[in-house]
Amino acid sequence: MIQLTSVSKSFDKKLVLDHIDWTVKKGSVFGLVGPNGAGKSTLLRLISGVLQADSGTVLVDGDIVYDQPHVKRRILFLADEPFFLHQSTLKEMKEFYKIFYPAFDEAVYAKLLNNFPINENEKINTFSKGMKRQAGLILALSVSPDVLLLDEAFDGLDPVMRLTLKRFISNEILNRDMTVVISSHNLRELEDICDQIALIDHNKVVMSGDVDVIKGDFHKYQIGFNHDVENSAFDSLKPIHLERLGNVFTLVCKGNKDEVKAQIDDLQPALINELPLNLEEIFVYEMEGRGYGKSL
Amino acid sequence: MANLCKIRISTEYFRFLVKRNVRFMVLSTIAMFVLYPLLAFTEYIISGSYGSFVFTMGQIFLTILLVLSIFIVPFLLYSYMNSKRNLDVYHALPIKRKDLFVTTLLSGFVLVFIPFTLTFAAGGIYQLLVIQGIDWVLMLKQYFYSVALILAIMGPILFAMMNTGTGVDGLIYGIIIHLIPGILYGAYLVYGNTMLLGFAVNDPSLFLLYASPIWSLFELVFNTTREYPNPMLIAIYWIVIGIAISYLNLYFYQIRKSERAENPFTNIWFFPIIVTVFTLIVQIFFYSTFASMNQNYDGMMRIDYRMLIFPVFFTFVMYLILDVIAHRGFKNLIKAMGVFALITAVSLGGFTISASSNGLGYVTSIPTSSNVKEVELSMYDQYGLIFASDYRYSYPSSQSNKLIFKDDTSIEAIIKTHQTILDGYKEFNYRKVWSSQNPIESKYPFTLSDEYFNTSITIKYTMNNGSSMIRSYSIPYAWTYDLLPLVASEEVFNQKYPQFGRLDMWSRYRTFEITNTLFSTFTDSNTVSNDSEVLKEVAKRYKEDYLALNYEEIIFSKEPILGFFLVEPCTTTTNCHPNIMPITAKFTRTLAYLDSINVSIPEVTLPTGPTTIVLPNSNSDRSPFFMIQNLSGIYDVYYRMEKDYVSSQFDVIDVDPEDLMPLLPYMMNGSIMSSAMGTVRIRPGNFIMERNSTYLFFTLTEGAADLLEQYKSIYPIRRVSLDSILWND
Repeated sequence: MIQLTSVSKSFDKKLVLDHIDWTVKKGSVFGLVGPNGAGKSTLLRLISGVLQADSGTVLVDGDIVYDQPHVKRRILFLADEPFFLHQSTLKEMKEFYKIFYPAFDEAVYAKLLNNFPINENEKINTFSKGMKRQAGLILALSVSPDVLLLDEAFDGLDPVMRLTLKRFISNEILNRDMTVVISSHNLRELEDICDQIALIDHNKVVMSGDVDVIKGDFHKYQIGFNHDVENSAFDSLKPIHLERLGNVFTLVCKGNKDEVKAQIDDLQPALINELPLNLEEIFVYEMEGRGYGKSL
Repeated sequence: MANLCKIRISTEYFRFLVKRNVRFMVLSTIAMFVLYPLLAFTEYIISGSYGSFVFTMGQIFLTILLVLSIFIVPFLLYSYMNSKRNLDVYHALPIKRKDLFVTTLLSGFVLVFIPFTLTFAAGGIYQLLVIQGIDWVLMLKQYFYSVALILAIMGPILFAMMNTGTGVDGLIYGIIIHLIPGILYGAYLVYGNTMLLGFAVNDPSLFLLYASPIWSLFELVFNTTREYPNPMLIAIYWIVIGIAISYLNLYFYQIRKSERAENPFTNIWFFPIIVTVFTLIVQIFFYSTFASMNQNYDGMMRIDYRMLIFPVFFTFVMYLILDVIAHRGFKNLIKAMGVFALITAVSLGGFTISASSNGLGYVTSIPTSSNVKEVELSMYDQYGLIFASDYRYSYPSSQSNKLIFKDDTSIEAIIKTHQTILDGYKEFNYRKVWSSQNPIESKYPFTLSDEYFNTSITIKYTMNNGSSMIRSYSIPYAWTYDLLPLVASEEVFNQKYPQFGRLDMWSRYRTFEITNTLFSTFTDSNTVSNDSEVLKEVAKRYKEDYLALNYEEIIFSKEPILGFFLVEPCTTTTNCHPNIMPITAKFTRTLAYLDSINVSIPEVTLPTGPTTIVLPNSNSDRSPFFMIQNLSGIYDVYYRMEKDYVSSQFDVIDVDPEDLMPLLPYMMNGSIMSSAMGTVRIRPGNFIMERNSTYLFFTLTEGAADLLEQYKSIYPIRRVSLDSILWND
């Protein structure tokens, strides 16, 4: 559905994306994670046709996106700070979007309006931050795009609204095969909704795949020893994270689970405990392994 | 161009934008209404009547508001470009960028157009209803000119917005871009007038008419007498320019880097180029202005570089301010100082080279006669030798002290004079001012009075290849001697005697008579139409006779006057222009024709009373006492004693009629005498009216010397005022 092939992008000689190859299947919900400044927003802007890649191609359903209205009509990009016309109401914004998106669904709009405590005739600049986000999401979902790009869209929403929206998005995916790409720092949130995840770091996609597969690739163990063991004993496991408290180690590593278990057993631990790993922890440990945030 | 043709206007988005900005249009319309039609109504309430002046003032305010609204609208519609967030949304919209740009531009045009049209129409109709004689066609043209310039005025503002990332920077540089043509032209004029001898421009407003859309708007709308260039063509020119600038802006819109929004500049070359050009122009302007303030002791202009310290300092501060605003701080200060130093080196170097090379040859350039198609000469001709005198206030308004010469003799005479001028100035290194204390050698056979020491002359060459060259000088009158051959040209004849030279000007002839030297007897007065074969034939032959003379035979003629033609043609029923044309024995063709139609010059009869002769001042042998005949045949008397203008007191004698007759062969009309003999005052009768004198004056040649001496011993000498001689007595 969305295909990036060897896409690079620089801003004023600063390389932001470096030969990105990336595919998003139709009907999937793809989470995009990465440290600040990794290029997530840039990637979304490339897919939405806001930016043009310096090299490589960005295709949606086989069509180039940039400056192609017939393709962009099926894509909607909702930025972290939603845009509204100066002194406009939600109703006026609806009229604005209807001009450009013929698939704008009044029924969806009405339904969403029912769910959110927003007066469509009130000026949006009087709304709170959360209400503005709600307004932005109402408009974005009413457009009924085939590809929905959300840049930290859930931030600022209360838990009830988040749940409502997640359900709505899930329904749209089921009913219309909508493809969603969500950029967020809230990995717990992404874990709930996304079926695929990509991690961007240092201009590249360093990790991409099904959430379950990724989670299956990471392992966290608590290992206790009766004897002294050096940290270097774990080198063969190539740990992403290794923490020691006396003779008790907390280890996070990647790889085949059985192989990892066998290598740990070789160290003759007195105690092995497999601990659950959520996506957020995977992200944190992976980035630590890459030197991000280690100095603190 | 192919891309341009593929632009599609999004009509829905266009309607949306117009609808969304209705408030702006309403406010604009109200403001325009208050300052245009309502202003006139207010005057009516106060004074009870309507005046054209108030409507004109209202139109000026309306035009100013039009310009203001053109400045505001781009910021209303394109402000999204100055926010990265907003830009993301607009560029994510499913509309081609060029279509988005053009649709927005079109809506901007409409936002300006509608309020202006409504107000102009209301004010125009109002004016037509309450004031008589309003030219509605002119009004329609003014409307068209205003609308034609909207895009061209908006263009530079948008251009600045395309290359900057904030509203403030867009406004600053939009204004700077609009100012550049004016400052550039001002710098050019100041530089030329200050540093280049002979510098002149054809039409001072012409450059700005093509370079500054705001100037052009006011010039086209309010200078209703302009004929050249054709205002309609200028308006069309600006329509084309407006479209071209819009296309350029479209290009910059498409390549504009959105990631640079919210930075001062989205185009890294914009600031250096615009500010460098602006600084250079301002520097040249100030260099020239300050250089002109310096005159050393002998009055000659030099570049005193101390005078340029202030311009450099001023522009340095200006440049730094712009740089600090552009970089939002002082981090670029050292580099800015370096760049400024480079700019100043270029401007000072260029200024110096240009000044020391006399404008890279501008000053000393003279065309060769073979390359010249025609020359337009204009001159303040105090003596009326070449140009008709200004004293004929009822002269046809189409005449002026400007003539166009196409014949080789005249062109060569003018070029020779031009060379004389440059040779004269060369002595002073072609500086514009020379010391008036140095005596100027003159070839003129008479001594010039102080008041005629200087004259202004403008020479405009039109070359065979269509180009033109114009020079203007303030020179000693003595340097114009080589122009005298022009006196014998057809152009001068037509200007001197349009009654015969320009038959096409007149609808009818009220008077066409012949009289003798003393105007004592007239032929039967017949009104002859300008179709008359007799008139045409006389005019033709008289012209042929005149052109057969050389300039010395015309100006320094000692031929006795046989008589005069009295001719009074009219352009309308009441607009008539009398003149007298002298006939001498050299006018052989004319005399032959008159003879063939049995018309002869009436015999001279004695006047009934004494005739006054004005005597030259005998106190000084250098007294420049001479008579100048202006082209109407009327004599103006000038009396100068060396350099001082004394009170106009003259010695006169009143001779009896019989003593006047022997003087007839020595009485000249239309000639200059090299020595002062005397002037005979004749009363011409009722024909010549409303002149600067009631009389005609004839110069006496040297041949009358003995008679005059004799009469001075016989007749008492009276001392009278100039006014008495001219009007009373």
